[in-house]
Amino acid sequence: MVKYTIQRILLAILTAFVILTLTFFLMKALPFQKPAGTDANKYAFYAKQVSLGYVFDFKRATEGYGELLWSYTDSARVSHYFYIRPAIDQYFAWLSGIFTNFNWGTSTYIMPNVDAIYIIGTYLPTTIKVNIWPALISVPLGIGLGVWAALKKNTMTDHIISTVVMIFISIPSFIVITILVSLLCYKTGWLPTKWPDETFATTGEKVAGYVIPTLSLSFGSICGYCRFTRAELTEVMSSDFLLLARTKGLTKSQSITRHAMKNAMVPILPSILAEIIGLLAGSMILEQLYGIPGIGRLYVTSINQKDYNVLMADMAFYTLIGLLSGVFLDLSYGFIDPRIRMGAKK
Amino acid sequence: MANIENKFTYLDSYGESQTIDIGQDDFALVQHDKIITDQAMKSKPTTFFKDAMKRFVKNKSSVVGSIILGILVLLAIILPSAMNTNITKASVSESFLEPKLFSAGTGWWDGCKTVNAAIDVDWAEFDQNVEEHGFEYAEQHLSGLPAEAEERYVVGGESGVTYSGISYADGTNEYGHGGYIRLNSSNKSAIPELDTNTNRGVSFDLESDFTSSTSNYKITVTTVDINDFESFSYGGECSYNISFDWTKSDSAKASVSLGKNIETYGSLSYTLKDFESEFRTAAGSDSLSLTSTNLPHLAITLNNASSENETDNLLIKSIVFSSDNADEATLMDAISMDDANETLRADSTTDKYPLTTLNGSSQGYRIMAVNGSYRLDTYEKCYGTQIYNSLTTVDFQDWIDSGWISADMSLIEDLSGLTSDEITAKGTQFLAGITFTDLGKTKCPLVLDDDHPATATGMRVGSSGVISFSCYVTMWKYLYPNMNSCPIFLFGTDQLGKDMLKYCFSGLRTSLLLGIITFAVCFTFGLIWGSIAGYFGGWVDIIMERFTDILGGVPWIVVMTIAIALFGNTFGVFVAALCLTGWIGTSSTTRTQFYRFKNREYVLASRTLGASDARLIFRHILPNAIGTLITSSVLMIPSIIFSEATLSYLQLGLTGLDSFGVILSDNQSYIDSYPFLVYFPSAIMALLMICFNLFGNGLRDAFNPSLKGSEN
Repeated sequence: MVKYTIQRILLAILTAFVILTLTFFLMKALPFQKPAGTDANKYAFYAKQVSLGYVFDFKRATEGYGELLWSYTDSARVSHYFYIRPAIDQYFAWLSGIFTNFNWGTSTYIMPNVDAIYIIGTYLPTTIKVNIWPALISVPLGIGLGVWAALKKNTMTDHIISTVVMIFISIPSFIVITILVSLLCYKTGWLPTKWPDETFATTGEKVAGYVIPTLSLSFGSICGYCRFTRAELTEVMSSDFLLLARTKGLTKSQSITRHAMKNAMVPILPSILAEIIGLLAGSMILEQLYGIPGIGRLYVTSINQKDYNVLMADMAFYTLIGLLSGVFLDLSYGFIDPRIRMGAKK
Repeated sequence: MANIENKFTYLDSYGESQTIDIGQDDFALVQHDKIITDQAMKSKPTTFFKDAMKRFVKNKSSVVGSIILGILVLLAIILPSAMNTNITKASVSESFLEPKLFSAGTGWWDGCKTVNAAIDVDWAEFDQNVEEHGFEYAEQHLSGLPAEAEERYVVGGESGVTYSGISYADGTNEYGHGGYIRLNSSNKSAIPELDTNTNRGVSFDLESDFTSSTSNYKITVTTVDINDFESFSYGGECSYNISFDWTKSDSAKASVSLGKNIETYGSLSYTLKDFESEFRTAAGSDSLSLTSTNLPHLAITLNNASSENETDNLLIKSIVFSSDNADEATLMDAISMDDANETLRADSTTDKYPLTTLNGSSQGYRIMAVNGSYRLDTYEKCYGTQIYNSLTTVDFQDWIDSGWISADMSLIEDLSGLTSDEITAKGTQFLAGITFTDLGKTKCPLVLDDDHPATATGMRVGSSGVISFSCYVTMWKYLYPNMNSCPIFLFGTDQLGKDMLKYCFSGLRTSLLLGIITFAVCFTFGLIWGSIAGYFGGWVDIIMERFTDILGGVPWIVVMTIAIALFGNTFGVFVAALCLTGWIGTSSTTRTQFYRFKNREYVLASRTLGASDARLIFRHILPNAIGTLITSSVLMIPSIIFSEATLSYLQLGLTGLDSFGVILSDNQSYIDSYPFLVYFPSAIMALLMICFNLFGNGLRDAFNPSLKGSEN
C-alpha cells in the first residue's frame, strides 16, 4: 500500500511536471506583455525579469535575439538593452527558480513586482472560507436526501426528489447564481449584491455575504451527492447479502444501517474527500460573478490582463489540485474498504 | 388392420349407463395432401435499435424531453430566419422594451413596467391647498404626473399613478419643493475676499435687478433654529453674519456688514437705507448705484465652529427682498428665496439667481418630494403617439399623395421660378392656417380627432424656400416610418433594441451548431483513436493512453484560454480548442468496448477466415459497440454548450457571435433594472439542458437496460 501510494504520488507529480512544461511553452508562444508606467517602474520590471532569467540585458544593441523590448540608460549612465531569451533558456531558468527557492516569478499587472506565489497565498484564504460552508451543508443534506429517496424508491417522494435533482444538475451554475442574485439581492434587497469588502463591511454584512455563495455552491453538490447516494444505495439494497440479513431476522432498519449503508458509503466517502480537496480550486464563475477575491477570479483576471507568471502559478495550483484529488480518491478506496486493493496485479 | 372397437361406457349423472362409439369416420387428417414448408415470419424480427426504440418510447419523461428538445431545435433553425426583426443593427430608440404577450394593462407580460419615480407635482396648487386647508389636506390632494412619462404612456392615465406621499430628503431634487438651505462649518479654510472670521456660507448673486440706489430695499432673512429638528444630532447652534458686497469701479471689493455674530433665529429685517452711511463709506469715491456692472451680492456666512470636532449648522428658510416701490417689487420677488430647492437648483436658465457656495458646503435640507409608482407602457412610449413640433412639406407630402389627409396649401406661394436671392428678399413669411383633414384612411399616421387637433403654422426659412411648420400634431410613431402595426416583442428587447426572442434563438442556433460540430469532430477522432488503442493493445495502447492521460490532465480551461490567446476567438478556433481535449472521453469508452469485444468468438472466427484488421474493426467490433458509444457520447453536446457558455460568461470565450454565453454575459449588468433580459435566455438554456439530459438518460436506459435507474 505504501509503495503504491508513493508510486501514485510520484506519477501525479510527473504528470503535473509534463503538463506544466507543456503549458509553459504554450504560454511562451504568447506575445510578451510589456509593462506600463514610469521608466523607473519599467526598469524595476525588466531588472526583475532579468534576474528571473526570462530576459537578456545587454550593454548595447545586439543582433540575433529578435525584437528589442526596451532600452534604457540608468542613473549610473549604464545602457541596458533588453531582449527576450529563447524559450528553452527561460524554461530552465523557471525550473531552477522553482526548485531552488520556490520562486514562481513576479506579477506584471495584478500586484506589480510581487511574487506570484505570494499573490496566490493572499487570494487562497477567501476561496477556502467561501467554500467551506457549502461542503459542510451539502454533505449531510445530499446524503440524507439520497438515502431517503433510495428507501422510498419508486414512490412519490423518490420521484419528486429525483426530478428536482435532475433539474438542478442540468441547470448551469451561472444561471442559478444569476437568478439567486436577481431575486435575493436586487428584487428583495435582503442580501448584498456583491461580496462585502473585508475591511469596511460590518459583521452582519459579512455574514450576509456568505449566503449567495453557500446557496449557489450547495445546490449542485447536494444534487450530486443525492444522486450518487441514491444510485449506490438502491444497488446495495437489491443485493443478495442484504436479503440474507433480512432472512436471518434483522429488522429493516438494522439491515440498512449495519449492512446497506456501510457498503453504499464505500464509493461515496472517497468522492466526498476528493471534493473537499477540490474545494480549494473554488468556483471561477461564482467568484467572478459575485466579486469574491479568490483564486478563481485571480485566474480570470490574470488571463484578461496577461499576467503570465501569476497565471502560470495559478494553473500549476489548479493542475496539482486536480491530480491530487484523483490520487486521493483512488487511495482512500483502499483505506475505507480493505478488500479493494488499488493497483494490484491480476 | 382389424377394426378396433372404440366403445366407451360410462355412468351419467342419473346413474344410467351410456355408451359412446367412436369410429374411424370421426377422424379427419388436418393437412392431408398439403405440402408443408417453412413459412415466412409474420412479425418482423426486431433489431437492437428497434428494441431500444421501443424501450425509449416507454420512458415518458424522456419522450417529453425529446419532444421539447426537438421543438427547441426546430425553433432555433426556423425562427432566426423566419423573423424579419433586425438583430444586427443597433436601434437605441427601441431599447429595453418589456416582454409583451398580452395587451397592455393585463398586469403581467404586457409590455409594461412598474416605475417608481419622482412625480412632477403642481406645487403652486399644493401651496394654495396648504394655505386654505392645511398641510394634511394638501398632502391628500396631491396631483401630478410622472415626470419621466407623459400621461398617455401611463397605463390608466393619471388615475394609474399611486402616490407614495410626501417624503423629505437632503439634497436637491428636480421635482422637489421647499426645504432649507443648510450651511455647515465642517470646512475651516478661509476665504480672502470676505471677513476672515466669516469664511463659510452662501452668497446670492443679485446682479442686474438692483438697478437703482439702495434706499428703497428691504431684506428679510428667516433662519430656523436647528433645535427644531431633532434629527440634527451632530453640531450645535452657531453665530452667523449677513453682509452686502459689490465690486467698485476700480475692481476692489466693497463690503457692508448688516449684522455680525447673530445668534438669534427667526426673521431678521434690514432696510438698506439704514445702512446708508456704511454704504457711502464702503463705496468711497464711487457712486452708490448698484447695477449689474458692479455685481452686488448678499452673503450669509458662518462663524468658526464652536469646537474642533463639532459641525455647526445654519438652516436658512427664506431670504425675501422687498421694495417700497411697486415697480421694483416684482423684480424683488424674482430674486427672493422662498423655495430652497428651487434656489439651490437655480442656474442661468431659470429666473432665480444662483447661489455661490463659499468655501464650504450648502446643501438642501428636508426638501419635499413626491414619489409615485405607475405602470408605464413601454411600447406606447416607443411606438405610440408622439407630438411633433416641426415638419416640412416633404414630411407630409407623401400622406397627401396617398390620399390619407388633405391640407389646404393655398397660402404657400409657388417659389419654383424664383432665384434664391429673390426668395431671400421675401424674407421669413408666416403662412397661417394650414389645416389637415383626415380622409378616413387607417394608415394615416396623424391623429386627427377632437382631442388632438392638428393645425400648423408654416414659416418659410431662409433662401431655400423650404417651409417648415410650427405645428402641433400627434402622430403614431410606428406608422410614420415603415411599420404597419405596432410591433410586439415576446421576450422584449435589449439595450441595443435587439429582439430578444430572435436573439435568443439565434444564440441557441450558434450554441447547437457549436455543440454538434464539436461533437462530430470529437466523436470521430475519439472513435478512431480509441479503436486503434483498443484493437492493437500492447505498446501502442500504453503510449496512446499516456498521451491522453497528459492531455486530459491539462485543465480544459487552460487549453482553451491559451488557444484563444494564440489564435483569436473566432468560431473555428473555439471549436478546435474544444476538440483538443473533448475527444478523450469517447476515446476511452471506445477503447474499453474494443477490449470487451475483440476476443469474442465471432471475431476470432472472422480472423481465421482471413478478415483484415479494417474489416474486423468496422464490420464486427464497432457495430456491436456503437450503441454504448452513442449513448455515452450524446451528452457531450450539452456539456460542450455548457462549457462554451461558461467561458463566454467569464468573457474568456467567444465575443461578437451571439451564443448563449455571450447573450447572458452581455445582459448580466441589467440584472437589476431589466431582469427579463437574463430570465428569458436563462430559461431557454435551462430548458435545453434539462431536455438534453432527459433525452440522454432515456437513450442510455434504452440501449443499456441493465443500467436503468442507477444514475438518475
